[in-house]
Amino acid sequence: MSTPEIAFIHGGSGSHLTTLNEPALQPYRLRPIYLYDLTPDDLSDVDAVIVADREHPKLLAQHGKTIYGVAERGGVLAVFGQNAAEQWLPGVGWEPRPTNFWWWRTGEDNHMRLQRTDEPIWDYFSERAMIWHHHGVLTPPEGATTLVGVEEDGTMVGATTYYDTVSTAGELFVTTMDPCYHHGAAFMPGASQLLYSTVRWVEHRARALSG
Amino acid sequence: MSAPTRTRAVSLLLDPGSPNSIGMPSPPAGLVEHDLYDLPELDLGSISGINLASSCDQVFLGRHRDLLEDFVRSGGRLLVNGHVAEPFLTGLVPWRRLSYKGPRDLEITSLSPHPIWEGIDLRDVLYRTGVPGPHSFEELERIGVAGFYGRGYHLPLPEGGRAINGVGPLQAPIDYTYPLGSGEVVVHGGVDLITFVDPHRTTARLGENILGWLEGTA
Repeated sequence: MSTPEIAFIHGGSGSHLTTLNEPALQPYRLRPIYLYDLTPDDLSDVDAVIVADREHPKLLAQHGKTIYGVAERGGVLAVFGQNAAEQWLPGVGWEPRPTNFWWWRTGEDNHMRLQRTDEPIWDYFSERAMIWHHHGVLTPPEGATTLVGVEEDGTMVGATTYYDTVSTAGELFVTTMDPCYHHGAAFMPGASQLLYSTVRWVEHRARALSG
Repeated sequence: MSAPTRTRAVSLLLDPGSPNSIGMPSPPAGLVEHDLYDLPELDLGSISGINLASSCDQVFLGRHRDLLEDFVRSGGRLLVNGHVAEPFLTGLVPWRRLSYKGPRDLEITSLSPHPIWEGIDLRDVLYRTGVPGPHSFEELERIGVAGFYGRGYHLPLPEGGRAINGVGPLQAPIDYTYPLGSGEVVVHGGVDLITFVDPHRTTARLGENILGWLEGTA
């Protein structure tokens, strides 16, 4: 089959535009969808959607049903962080947390716990990609799989990243991390890894689901 | 002579007050925040300076380049934060990523004076930490994270452009300025300048410096 149609919803920020111009991502032929101009028709024929991090939250929430609709009709939806996802993804809870960006210099606990299993999704994501910093804790929908959990005072309180094959006919990957922002700003190798890994996983799943 | 009519300083960003802003220092009193998408409705005739946050939508800004250019050419001041990917105003050049190995490659040095950086020791912008309290530079070398100020540069500079600060041993221009008509554009190629205000460092005055420049008093 041909390459799946993957929409990349962006808000025109410097990091978003840099991400779209990234040579490593050109083979995916991501279809840029500028959030400010988004209409439902833009997503009517796509196999997958990636929502870049740090979009305008109110603008994004206005289009939440349209975007979620791609997963409902059997497509793949990846949502990056700082997008107030709890306001437009059904069944998701959210609590903000201060960002600890310095834990690796002081040896502090980052509270993030990889929940690695034998499931195929773990062929795509390394610890380096999944653990650098996050912006808050999600409560995934019932039946979803936590990929990276957050442990506080000995208790797992939620997830920074989960995937969900039960809520819709399609599949969702949701994280509170912001890889486009940090990749676009040339900040952390782990952020670039998460970005590349997610796009690769999305392409793989979109190909499987639409094939 | 009548009093100047353009005296207000504003900051444009995505959705001021949203949870994304949590943890960011408050802007100095006098710097009024607006949603970027309200730009076409602002009374630019009463505004002396605009701070564009790094979160700003450059596609939208490009669509309003005439409005922005008129603002600057008629005497306005514009502080552009972040990474310009698609130049949205005459004279802006794209940001380029630097190849770096460690903090030494990210050191910031002054190349020419500018009111925004007056009195700022650039060693104070190299490291950031969330560990509470004041820290010496030597302590920050052990526990701080370098590179928030910026990991990229602008070359070639636009015609008439002047490098203000350089990054790394090669002092590639990270901050630059150029005149446009009767106004001035300053570009800071990194995390928003306003976030470097720290009461324990020489950057304590950075907020007032920025405000003064935007208001046209510095």
